[in-house]
Amino acid sequence: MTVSEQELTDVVTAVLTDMLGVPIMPLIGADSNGTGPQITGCIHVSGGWEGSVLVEMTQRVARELAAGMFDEAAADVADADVMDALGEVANMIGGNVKALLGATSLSLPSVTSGDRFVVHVPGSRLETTSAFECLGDPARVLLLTSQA
Amino acid sequence: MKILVVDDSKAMRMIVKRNLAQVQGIGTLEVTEAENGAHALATIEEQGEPDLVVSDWNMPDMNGLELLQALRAQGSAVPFGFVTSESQASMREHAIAAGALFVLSKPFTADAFQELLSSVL
Repeated sequence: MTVSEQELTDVVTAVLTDMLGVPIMPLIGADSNGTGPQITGCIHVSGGWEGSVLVEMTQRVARELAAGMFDEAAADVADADVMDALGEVANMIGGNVKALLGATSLSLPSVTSGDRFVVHVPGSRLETTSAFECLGDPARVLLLTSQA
Repeated sequence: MKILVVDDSKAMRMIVKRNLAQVQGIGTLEVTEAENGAHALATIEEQGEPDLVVSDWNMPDMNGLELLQALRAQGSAVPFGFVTSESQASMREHAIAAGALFVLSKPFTADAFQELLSSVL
């Protein structure tokens, strides 16, 4: 059981564009890693399918998303609220991926932010990538499958 | 109308509150928030029952289903609905069987939110 790139992108579009009003554009062939401080939301799926969903973007874009969710100016959003907002984005994307895969359980999200970091989920491999441009920066959602 | 919004995400509570304020026929709105099921139970005990509980499902310290079951076990018939990323049919059936009025899947559009809430209020 897997999720195609188009299915993953459709989920991302439903969350970021249809619900949060932020358009995204496919990013094909370009570097899907943004520059500058980054932030990653991670959520784990289990029960019939084991794996993880990572939502990666620049902190600038996450702050803009949070500003929309909180209905505040981007500069006024607290750092903790930016992380909360991205966690909820990961939750919504992860929940819909879970439904596509027929899995039964979804973890609570975790969020990591910083200038240089890598989120590594031991024992997993990259299954599907949705890379896109969001508010001028590259972003991506990764679907990792557990190899256990 | 007094509504208790329960979600571990502050951002999602804000979105739900904004959408509630736009629901036609809701009248004067008073929204209280709780960040998980245990907090929601404590809030209801302190402040009395609301007219409606709108709850997430996946939360630490008592999830939404556990909250609904706890309320019903206490004899509460408070109207209760889910706004959740748990979108599978089996979860929906489970929620309705436990006494939920509605299950709205995340992500949702403002129109879908308002149409559903207008129909149940």
